[in-house]
Amino acid sequence: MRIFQKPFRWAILYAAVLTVFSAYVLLDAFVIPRAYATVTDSQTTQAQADTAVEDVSQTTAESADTQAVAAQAEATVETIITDTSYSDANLQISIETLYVDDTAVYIADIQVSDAACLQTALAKSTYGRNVTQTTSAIAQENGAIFAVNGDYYGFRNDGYVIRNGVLYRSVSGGGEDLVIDSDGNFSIIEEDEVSAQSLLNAGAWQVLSFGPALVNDGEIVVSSDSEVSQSKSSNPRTAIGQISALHYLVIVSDGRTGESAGLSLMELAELFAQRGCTVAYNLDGGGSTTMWFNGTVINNPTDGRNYGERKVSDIVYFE
Amino acid sequence: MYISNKRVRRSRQALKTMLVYLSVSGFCVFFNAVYSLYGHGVSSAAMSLMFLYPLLGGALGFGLVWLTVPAADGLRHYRAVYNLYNSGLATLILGSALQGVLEIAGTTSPYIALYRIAGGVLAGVGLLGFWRSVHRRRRAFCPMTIQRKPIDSLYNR
Repeated sequence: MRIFQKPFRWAILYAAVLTVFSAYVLLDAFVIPRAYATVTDSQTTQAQADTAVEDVSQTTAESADTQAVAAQAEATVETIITDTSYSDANLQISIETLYVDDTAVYIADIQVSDAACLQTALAKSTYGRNVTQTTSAIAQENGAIFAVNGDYYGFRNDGYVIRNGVLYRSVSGGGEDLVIDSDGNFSIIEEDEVSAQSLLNAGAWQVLSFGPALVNDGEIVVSSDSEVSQSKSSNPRTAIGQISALHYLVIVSDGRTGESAGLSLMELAELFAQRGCTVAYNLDGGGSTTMWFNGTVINNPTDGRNYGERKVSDIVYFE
Repeated sequence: MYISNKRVRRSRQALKTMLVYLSVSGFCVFFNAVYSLYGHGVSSAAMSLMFLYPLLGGALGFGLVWLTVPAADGLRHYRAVYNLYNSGLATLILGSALQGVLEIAGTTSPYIALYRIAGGVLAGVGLLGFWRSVHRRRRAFCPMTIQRKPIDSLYNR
């Protein structure tokens, strides 16, 4: 191998190989989209049907009454929309803007009549890596009234992904997940302790894997030391919590700007606890943080360098 | 008994390489510091500690070669093992930097393991080759080697 004996020929050749391979690794991680599955109506419908069959024995007697009441309410309650609120027979949203801890905070109090009003959606209706769209684009395509960014599952290779009753990824990332069951109730699980399939079998309708959990059983479960990826600084944040059955709280904070510093996870958890949340969970933040309501982005999304919505993998929305 | 006044010829290339690796180590510290400014408080141990590869594997390693192996650059196959070892260290440093970039962004890549494997193998083969070259040269000058030859062979020419 004479090439090894030459002073610079090997170095140049190897440097070229390393550069090309590293460029590919970065493109693969950040840019190249890979679609693994497409969301079809039949998948969701099948999942809904499965859940319905399980519940039918319990709810047959109640359903007739409930449907009659809902139909009557729908007929009598008109839709009222303002810049910061929405109200119809199934959904009441009220958005409050506060300035706490040098940070602009947007708090949405949401009540629904049916758990089906709380949904998630994937960018381009496709499950995959680096398949992205802005929160507002996904929200509009899905007929949402209110939406926030989800867990950006497509930026990672692990962490459970169950959406609208369909299991997409069962690779454990070892973190805490938010489970939303078919009744719309929140719970926190550890991926190391339970498999994605068993969650699905137990009735999990949505599983979001970012974290950490902020509040569980009404108690704050983060400390000032427990932060996302060792980030102890203030940041833009997105988080969702449950106050009671079919009553939710979504909090978004601006950050990384002179006008708004951002919140630490502890500060975020305190906001949820003060408002009586029993469970609250941190979603993807930073430049992904977006709150969208009735066609308008409410917060000021920024990653600290550029302003504007970042494209994300998924959203949580109400319709 | 006498004290030799013959100067040991140290490898200038080992010295130069040691200084280059010291610079690379400093650059790694600088790169990590600058990158941390844009990390919004997120840090990565892989990136913070990547300077150890050029410092320990590079500067310290070639410093030892410079001090203990006279005329190292004159060893048989020295250029080949030198290239292999340096390629291994470069792969490990780059892999560590990339791992840091990905960790700070909040993602992972299955390819990062390849950097560790390739870097480890190249550096290991380079080290092994260097050790063999040194060992061969010592054997060539070692009296024990000469004694192993049959004495007859000195006369049957």
